Amino acid sequence: MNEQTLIWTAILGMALVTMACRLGGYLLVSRHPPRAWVKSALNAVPGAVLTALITPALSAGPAEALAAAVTLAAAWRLPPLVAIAMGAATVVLLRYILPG
Amino acid sequence: MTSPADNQDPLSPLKRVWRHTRPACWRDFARGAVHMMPMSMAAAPFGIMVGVLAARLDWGLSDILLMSATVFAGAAQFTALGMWPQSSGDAAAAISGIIGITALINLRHLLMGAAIAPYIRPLPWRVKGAFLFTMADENWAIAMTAARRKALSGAYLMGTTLPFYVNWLIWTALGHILGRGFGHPERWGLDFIFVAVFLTMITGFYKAERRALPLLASAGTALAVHLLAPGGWSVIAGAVAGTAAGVLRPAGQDLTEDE
Repeated sequence: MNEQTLIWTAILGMALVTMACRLGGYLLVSRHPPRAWVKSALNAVPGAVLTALITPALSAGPAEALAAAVTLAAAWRLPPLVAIAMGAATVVLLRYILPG
Repeated sequence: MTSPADNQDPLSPLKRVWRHTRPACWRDFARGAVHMMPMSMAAAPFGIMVGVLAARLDWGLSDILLMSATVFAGAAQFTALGMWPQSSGDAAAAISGIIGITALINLRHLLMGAAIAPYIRPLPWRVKGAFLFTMADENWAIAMTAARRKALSGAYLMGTTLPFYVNWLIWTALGHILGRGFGHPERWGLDFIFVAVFLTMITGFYKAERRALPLLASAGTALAVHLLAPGGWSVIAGAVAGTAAGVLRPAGQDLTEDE
């Protein structure tokens, strides 16, 4: 498979599963609301996925780990865009200072 | 069309439509669009960064626009681009992983669709179909808030949805054009922006949920799998572990039992 076919396959697959989720809830809505534990697990999904996705990048080195700490601290109080800029600035600075 | 014979003034149906229906429709549409304005602006940096990531992977502008138009889910698009295989060696497995993760990330739409179903059921399919196809956390939240106050009109629902949809396409396209301009992304910390964006999103999820366990379970599992078996599997393992940990405290449980 060449790169273009891969891209189209991925987009098609992603679009289909996303559409199924978007329409499915409306179409399959039953008279009974979902069980509490199902709701609880589904609410945890976005955070769990994003955390799993970035964890390998955080273990790449001290610059990334420290910049992540700065970003988290900033995101707690400041708007996301400011926190993102501060994290990126920290990683640039630390990569310049730290060896390797 | 009404024939002139039905009516004294051949233009009167049109006038009636213009005088009553259209302005009311547009007012509702505009109200929905205005309510979504802060959300549209908040989506801009994320759209730009999706575009930048796609450009760095050498995707064409049409590719990322196709993705934004048909998938239309920021977190899933970020994840897909972040997991995109560097080599074509294990590409098939990587693509399956990306589609699986997309399903997992967007599973919450099942709940959202179920929650809003009673409010949109009376609307015609062309309206609720368009809404469901473009349902995101943002327009869903705004529509749910409005629906609790008074019955949702189709025009209001489209006002929360259509400009927000076009907004996403514009920002991802702009990001792609910008992304082409950066020669050495590491020098500007652009590779870290991906991580930083997700960290701010995770902070947002934590603030809404107040549950650290799923996040810690996900991070611990992902790290262990990453160290033992590098590759895309750490994402799936961490996501499944975090979701499983999410079962442990049922939603709606008394918040005083926290920690």
